[in-house]
Amino acid sequence: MDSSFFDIGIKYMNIVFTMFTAVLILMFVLMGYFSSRNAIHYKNKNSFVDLSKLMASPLAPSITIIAPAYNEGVNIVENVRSLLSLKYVNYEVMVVNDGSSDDTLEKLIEAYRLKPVTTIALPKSNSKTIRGIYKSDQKSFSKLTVVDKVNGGKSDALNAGIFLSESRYVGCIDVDCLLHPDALLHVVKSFAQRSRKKVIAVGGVIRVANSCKISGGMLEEIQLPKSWLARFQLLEYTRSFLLGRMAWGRIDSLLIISGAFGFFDRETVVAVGGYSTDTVGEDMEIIFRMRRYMHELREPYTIEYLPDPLCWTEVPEDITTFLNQRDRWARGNLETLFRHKDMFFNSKFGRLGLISYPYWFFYEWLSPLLEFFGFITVVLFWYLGILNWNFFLALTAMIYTFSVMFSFYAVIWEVLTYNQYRKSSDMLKLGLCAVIEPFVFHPVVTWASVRGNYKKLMGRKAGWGQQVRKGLSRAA
Amino acid sequence: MLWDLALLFGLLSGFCFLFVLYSKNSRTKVGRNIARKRSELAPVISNFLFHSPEDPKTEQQEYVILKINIREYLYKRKYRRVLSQILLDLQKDVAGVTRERLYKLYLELGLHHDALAKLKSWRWYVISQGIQELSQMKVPNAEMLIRKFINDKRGVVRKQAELSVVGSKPEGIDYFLDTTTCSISEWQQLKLIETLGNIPNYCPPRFCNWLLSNNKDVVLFALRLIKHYNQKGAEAAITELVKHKNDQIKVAAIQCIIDFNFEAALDLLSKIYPISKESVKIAVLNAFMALGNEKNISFLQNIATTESNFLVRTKALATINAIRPESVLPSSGLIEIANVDQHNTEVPVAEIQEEDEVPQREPVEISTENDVPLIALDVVDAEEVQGEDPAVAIEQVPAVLPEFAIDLSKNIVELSLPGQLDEDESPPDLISKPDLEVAYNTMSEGEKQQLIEAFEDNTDDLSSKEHALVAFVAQEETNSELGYRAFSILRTQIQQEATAEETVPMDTTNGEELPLAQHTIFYELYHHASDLDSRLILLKEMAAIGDNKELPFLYELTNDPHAGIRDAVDAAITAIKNNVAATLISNPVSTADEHEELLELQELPEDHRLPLELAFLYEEVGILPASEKQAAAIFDFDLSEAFEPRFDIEKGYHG
Repeated sequence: MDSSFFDIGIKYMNIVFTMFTAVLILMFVLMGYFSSRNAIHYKNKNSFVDLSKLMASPLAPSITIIAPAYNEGVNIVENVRSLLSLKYVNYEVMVVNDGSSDDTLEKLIEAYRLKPVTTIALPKSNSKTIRGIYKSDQKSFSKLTVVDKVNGGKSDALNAGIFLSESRYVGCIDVDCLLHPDALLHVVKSFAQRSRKKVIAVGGVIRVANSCKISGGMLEEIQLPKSWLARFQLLEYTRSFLLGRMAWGRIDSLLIISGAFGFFDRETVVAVGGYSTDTVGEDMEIIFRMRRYMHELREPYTIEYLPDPLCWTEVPEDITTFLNQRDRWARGNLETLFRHKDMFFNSKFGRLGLISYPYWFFYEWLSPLLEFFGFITVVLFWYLGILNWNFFLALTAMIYTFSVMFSFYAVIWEVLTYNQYRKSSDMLKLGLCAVIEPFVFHPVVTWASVRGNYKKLMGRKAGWGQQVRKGLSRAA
Repeated sequence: MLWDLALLFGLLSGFCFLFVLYSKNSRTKVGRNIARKRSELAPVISNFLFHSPEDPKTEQQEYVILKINIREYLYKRKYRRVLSQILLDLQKDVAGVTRERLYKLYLELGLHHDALAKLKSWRWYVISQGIQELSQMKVPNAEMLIRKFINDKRGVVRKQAELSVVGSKPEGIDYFLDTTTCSISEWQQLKLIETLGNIPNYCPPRFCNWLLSNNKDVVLFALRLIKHYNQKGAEAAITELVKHKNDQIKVAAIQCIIDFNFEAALDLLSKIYPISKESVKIAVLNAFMALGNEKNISFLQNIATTESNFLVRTKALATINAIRPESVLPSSGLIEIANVDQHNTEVPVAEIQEEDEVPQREPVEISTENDVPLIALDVVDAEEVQGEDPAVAIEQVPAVLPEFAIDLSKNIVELSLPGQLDEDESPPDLISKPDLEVAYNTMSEGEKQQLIEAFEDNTDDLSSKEHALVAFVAQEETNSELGYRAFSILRTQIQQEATAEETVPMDTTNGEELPLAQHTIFYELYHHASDLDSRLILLKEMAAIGDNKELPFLYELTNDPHAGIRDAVDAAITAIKNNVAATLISNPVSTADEHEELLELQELPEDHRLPLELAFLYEEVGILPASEKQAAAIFDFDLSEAFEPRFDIEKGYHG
């Protein structure tokens, strides 16, 4: 190999990587700034809100919570009870049994004295066959509807719920999520507070419920998870939700609403045809389509983001489940970005095409791949004896200290806003997580992402993977 | 350079971590301090609020000392803030004279000066806090200062000012609607309506005056207020609004037309229809569905044939069916009845219809008066019904499209007006109770109101299914007005039944006596109770107030499959028997029947203890229970020594 050509290649790579890193740091700094502003604004604005006024208002709009359930027999009764105890006057809980092979449906029928009411033939394109719809004959469970359908996956189950619902808004959640009693009040307020723009969706923070004390479907005491894997995820979620999404929300460029807690204007979600059933990243994909639809309609719209701790969920505590989850996220990311590739640097879609999409492309999809190849390159250069140790260590130290700083910054906002973890020892543990995370947790995330991309690009068949959960009611 | 940056980020990381620990501790410390101050000041405030000049001298002295002490507090701003917060919190929990005193105290302490100062701040949330404080503490003349914020460009400030102005006095809403140039979100509308509801003896103005506003949101809010306060006298203005350029206003006006039954507006609606967008067209068709009559059929048929939009076309068909029930029926994908092999059928179709007395239907086609072609509708594969009786099968063919399925349901409800929803006249599988409930839920507000009105007019002619539907509305309807009206219908019906029972007993059974189990008023109530809890409550009531009338019904329930019910029934039977016994004892036996009843009571199982009330009654009238065993079951001591044996339940009263 010609050494001058090799040197030019190396220099060129240096420039690209330096630029990439500089832009990444700049983006993170901006993210910190925007999220802080948004957090302060939200906190001040929220101090004037009296949600109780909506509690018994005859004007309260209707809302349906759709919770798909697949083999959730262990905790389904408890989880549904928790959903039925939310504070709101005009809501319905629709549990969609997605062809469970266990006793999910039987347990629901027995616990809530359900009776079949009617069968509605849905157009075939919307969901798999509905086998039955059940309602309780007890007034105390009148808010509950159970839909039994042939197995078709989470998106298919959500679509069945969306098309069967008649409410103005629909909420798509994971059935094992624990919602704060005021969650619907916050959501409806977000939908109703804009007058110039149509709010097409509302998303929120997902909090980690592992090791928290839960009783009767209610969160009694918030505790830091005992498992280190769950702690790392908690720190990651804090960064992602309190800084990342807050910042994107501030500039109205949010491209993802978590599948565990997402609420939609039903009219819009029906107009775009509901969730896509041929992707594993359906929660991100639907937002892309809804935004695209509203852009094409040329109607002013927005997506609201709620930083309040309203939804609590259990995160994986074993490495296999965790790897499967991240693998799936990576595939979903790639599928969605590929499907909407025409948005890439497309000014027709405004900030969406010029900022959000490129960010997701470079820093959510490409970044783990670059990291992985960077690591291989470092090993190769070291083997060849051409590794510039000084440059390598300086760059690594800079990126490491920056990531630790960014994690601490996220923890600051957690303390200043919601201050969920009361003990000082919890802060020390989170601090330790931030320090060791880049060496322990981050490589696993990168590996899962590379694996997911490999599977997708090589056309390997992969679905949702095995989901193993301890169950929130036993989390404590 | 990279090392420098690494060092910088490292230092910043350390700083951030220290800040985390500091802010964590300081938040806790500040929180504790505030809590301590609040606990110190709260008794002082309550002393001020509940002080009276007539209090004893010692308390008067304490009051003076407190007055001096509180002045000390007022010098420090942080204490003033805590004081304001205590008073603001307290005013939510007190009312009447105490609340007036609280407002007075707030002014006397001069805390309103801080709130007024907040209005001059450059920070939006400080101004908003000031407005909120001044309006909550009813500071006189503050409204004039707040009014200038009513069109403020900062959303939160503006919204607080709007709430304050509207809530300050009854004319506040007039000023607000006259002057606002900004948008009014749905959330804000809700809060404003709530604020108006809190004004004592509020008499709303005629909101139709603001239908002419240039502000689109004011018009929409005025329409909502008109609906909320049920101001029906604005027909002309509301009707005129359907010509508005803004579609939102058009749709809201049409909804008002439906809610208020302005039938005269239908002509204008048919005129604006061709130039409207899809959402407005659907709203127009909703209006025709609720208010239309035979005269509008040709207009609707025209839409059904010429409209290219599927949703609108389907809506038009549903509207036709709503006005003239079952005039549009499925026409394609059906089995050919004419081709059915008559030889394989034991009885010809026509004869089956005659024999089974299938209700008469309109011909299976759209009215041909206006030469409108038949509109094809997709239906479920006919294979599903081939094996059945063709005459019945055609009736039961379900629609594939959910829209059409809903429309059918609506038709069912249209058919279900009083007198038409008799069980005998309708196939039971077509109009079952859940179907009615589903159909009811698909109706618009206007349709629901019409239905309830029809029920109100025919309270005494309701069939059992109509009765069940009314009960469903009374229990499940989220619109409180409709729910209350349905409840009133039920109440009227029960009252009428009770009156009928009193005046002409057993009239409904054509001279035949009702079964004994139905003699109790609890029979109907029990069977109307939809859930276990209600039934258990009824059984408890029976136990508490029941007498012999309830017993046959209770005996029927002893075989109930639910263990809880069975237990409650047993308890009720025992309690009623005891009550009856007590009544008989306190009122001497006069007839042979009553004597027999009294004798029956001996058959009570021995382990059934007598209730304490009965035991005390025995004691009061000087009666000893029949046997020592029973006595021992009531009291721990031996009654045989304490009382003279003057009463033996087998032989009657001797005393």
